Amino acid sequence: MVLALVGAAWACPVCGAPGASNEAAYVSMTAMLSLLPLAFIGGVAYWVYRTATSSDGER
Amino acid sequence: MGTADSFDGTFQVTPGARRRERKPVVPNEVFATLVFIFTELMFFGGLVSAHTITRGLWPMWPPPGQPRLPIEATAFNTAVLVASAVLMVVAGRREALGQARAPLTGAMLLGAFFVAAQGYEWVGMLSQGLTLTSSNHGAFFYLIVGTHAVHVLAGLAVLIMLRARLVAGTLTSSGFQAGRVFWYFVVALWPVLYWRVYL
Repeated sequence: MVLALVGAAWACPVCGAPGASNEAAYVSMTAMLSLLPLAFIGGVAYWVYRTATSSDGER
Repeated sequence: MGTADSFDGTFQVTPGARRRERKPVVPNEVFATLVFIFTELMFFGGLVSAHTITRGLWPMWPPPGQPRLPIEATAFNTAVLVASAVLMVVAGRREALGQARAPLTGAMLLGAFFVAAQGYEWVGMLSQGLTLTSSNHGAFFYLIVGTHAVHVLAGLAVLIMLRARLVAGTLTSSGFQAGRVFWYFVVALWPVLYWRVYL
C-alpha cells in the first residue's frame, strides 16, 4: 500500500514539483486561492455587520 | 383608515399603524457589484497563480532572450491610476454637497491616461518582439495586463455613465456607490498585477 501511494504522492505537484522554486509557487498559490474567497467573504460580512450596527445606533 | 402603497393599492392597514421606512444595509446595486467583483477576483487569482507557477519553472524571469518590461514607466502609470481612486474617494465624500463632478471628471481623465499609456507601452513591447505567441513571458504579459486593461475600459464606461447621470441629475446614491466600488476594485487590483508581472 505504501508503494502504491508513492505514485499518488508524486502525481501531486505540491509534493513533487521539478524544482524548489516551482514547489514553493505551488504551495503559495494553493494557499492564496484557498484563502482569497474566505478573506473576501469574511471582509464583506464584517463590513455589512459594521454598517448594520452603525445604522442601528443612529436610530 | 389609511392605505399602504401596495401593488394594487387595495391593502388596508390597521388604524394608527405607522409605515416604517426600511433602508437596506447594502444597496442592491452595491451587493450585485460585490458578487461580480468576487468572481473577477477568483478569475484574476487563477491568472496570477498560473503565471507564478510557470515563472517558478525558470531559473530567471523574464527568460533569457526576452525583452525586459518597462518597470519605471509603469510605476508612474500605477501612481496615476491610484490617484484616480483617490479622486473617486473625494467624489464620494462630496456627493452629498453636490460637488462630485470635478473629482469624478479628474478620475475619468486619469483612468483614460492609464489606458493610453498602457497602449503606448504595448506598441513598444511589440516592436521589441514580445508577442502573445513569442514565449510564456509574452503570453502571460498580454493576457494578464490586457484583461486588466479591458476592466479599466469597462470602468471608464461606468464613470462616463455616472458623470452623464450626475449632470442630468438622475444619479442615485446607491448607483454612484456601486460604480465607485467597481473602480476601487480595478485600481486595487493593478498594484498586485504590477508586482507579479513586472517585478
